[in-house]
Amino acid sequence: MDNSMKFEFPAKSENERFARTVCAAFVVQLDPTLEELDEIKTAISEAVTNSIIHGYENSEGIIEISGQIKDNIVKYIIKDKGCGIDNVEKAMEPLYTGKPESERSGMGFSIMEAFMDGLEVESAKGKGTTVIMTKRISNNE
Amino acid sequence: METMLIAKHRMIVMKIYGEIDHHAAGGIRKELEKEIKRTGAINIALDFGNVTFMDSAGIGVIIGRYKTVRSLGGNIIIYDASDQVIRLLEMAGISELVIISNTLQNGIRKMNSFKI
Repeated sequence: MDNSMKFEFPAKSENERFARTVCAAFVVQLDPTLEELDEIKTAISEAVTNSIIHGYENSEGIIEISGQIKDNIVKYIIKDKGCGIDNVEKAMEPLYTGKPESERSGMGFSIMEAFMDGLEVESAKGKGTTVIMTKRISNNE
Repeated sequence: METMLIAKHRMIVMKIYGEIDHHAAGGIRKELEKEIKRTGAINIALDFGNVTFMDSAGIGVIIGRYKTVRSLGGNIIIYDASDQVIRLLEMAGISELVIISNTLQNGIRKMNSFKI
């Protein structure tokens, strides 16, 4: 199996559902379990919500998502051109939230880490953020 | 979402439909806070039977409302949730804070057993 896709959309909260649904649909060709699909949807939702709330701080911007499938591994790249993360290591600490006043749980990166097999975050202040997640789909082959 | 009041238990019951993400979270939060103020209820029961997806935004809403009802001396019941939702609640440690049950009746029973 060898495939790829790419799409982009405005950073609006209405599009969170659209983004995770497209990402889930892309991986269906690997015949994932329902649990794996839920894990992917949740991880994508966390990454996209981070871009909207933190990357673009709820103002205008574009989020780009690309996906690749190679054998039974799916990779998603979620990219924004927002404000970037000053200290990636700190942002990834469990329960850390950059917006304590906005009732965020600080679990976004922990969920991405728990639900996917690989997570990389590339970011710098003013340079936007790219989140790369991979997951091996356990099909019965 | 639909809300109703069970006056006997000073409880707001909210039936939530569909997906709870950052987009949906604000509306749920506003409605619950409004109903608590309006009715004087101190407990919240959330019917998750029709919730098909939840991410950490749902966790944020539940923790926020937990703080509200605890300050009033009340509890939160979450019932009829899917495996995906329960897994997330457990990951977040929320299953220690709120009452998770299969039905509303069992949730209320558990809640009342705490108070005796």
